[in-house]
Amino acid sequence: MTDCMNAEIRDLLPDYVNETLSASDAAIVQSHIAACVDCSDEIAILRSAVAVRPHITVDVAKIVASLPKSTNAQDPGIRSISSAPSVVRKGGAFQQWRGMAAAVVVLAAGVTAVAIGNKKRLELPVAVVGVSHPVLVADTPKIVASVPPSITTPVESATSARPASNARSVALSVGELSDFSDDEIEAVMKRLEKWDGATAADPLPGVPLLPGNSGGVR
Amino acid sequence: MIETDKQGDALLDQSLVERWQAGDERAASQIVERHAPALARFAVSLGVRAEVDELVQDTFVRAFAALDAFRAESSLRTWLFTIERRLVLDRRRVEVRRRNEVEVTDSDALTSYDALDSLVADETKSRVADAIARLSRMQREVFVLRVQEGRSYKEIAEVLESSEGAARVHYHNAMRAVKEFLDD
Repeated sequence: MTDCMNAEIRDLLPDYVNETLSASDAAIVQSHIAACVDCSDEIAILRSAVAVRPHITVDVAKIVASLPKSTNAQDPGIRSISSAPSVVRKGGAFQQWRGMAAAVVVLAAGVTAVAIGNKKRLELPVAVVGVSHPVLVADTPKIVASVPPSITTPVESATSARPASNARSVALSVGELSDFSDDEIEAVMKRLEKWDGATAADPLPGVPLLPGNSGGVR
Repeated sequence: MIETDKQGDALLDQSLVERWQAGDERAASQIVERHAPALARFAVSLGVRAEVDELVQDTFVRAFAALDAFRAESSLRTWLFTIERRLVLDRRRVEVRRRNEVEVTDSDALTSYDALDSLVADETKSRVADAIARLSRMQREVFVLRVQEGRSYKEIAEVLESSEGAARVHYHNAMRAVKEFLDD
């Protein structure tokens, strides 16, 4: 067997056998080997060489198990949780405020009950809506509860107590949370942030929402 | 020459590498499935007679440990071939040192193809397989990469850490040697 003198075509023969040539190059090679015995023989050798390519079975799973992890690899479970959108975020700021305000009101009610039970002076951290009469909470043993006649909804459940003497007057109203505006709730929240909550004897800042007509707040 | 298949392969490999780098472990399986058989064949051509599996596995382990540095300037398979060949040469050096031998002779590689003889029914194919097995180590590596793995001279030069011209010369010398063996 001899070598064809066309080195350019000979260089392309392995690619022709492996079918990786472009259509035009393949056509050029094909027309050449039709007339070239040397290249035809070489093509036959190359085809045989490709045919005797060893077939070796490799355990892919074993190899994959031995591979290092990607630096960005995460446990799928953890990833799904961390990448899941937060349910709280979807609720919006208003709903967050409502939830927090509700919790604060419940807390304040509990503190009030304890304070009254201990008969200590306390100003309730409650917003005032539509109240024209102050409510007094005093540390006197004798507490008189009364409902101002001019009070209308949403403060029907408001309770006022007047001490027998020497009582400090505050404006107070207890209504439904849903009756409060966002601004009112926000104002209460800001005030509560200033309250350390340490003692019932250390009163909260007064509720600022009712213009005081009987001594006011603070 | 337009090698659309190779370009498609390169794009797919690049995509798989990026997926793996982003944390998709399934991409690793696909990369191994695509290239492990070729690495096993090349291992045989390098004269590896036993523990081909282990060599292929070590090649992938080393490659994946350095995959962040892979820049796709060469094809992934060419890069893997290069890593595998370096591993074989390293082991060969260690083995030679251990056995206090000067070098491993080319005849050591013959048995890898001898084992395949029984699988080759056709006589011509069998003789071609014999002829390949009798090539010098360098000629055999170049011939296998060029013919059986379809690598370009440029890629072969990368694997052998040599020049494109040297790869071409080795290939044509190998082909001449095969023809001479078949003419005998």
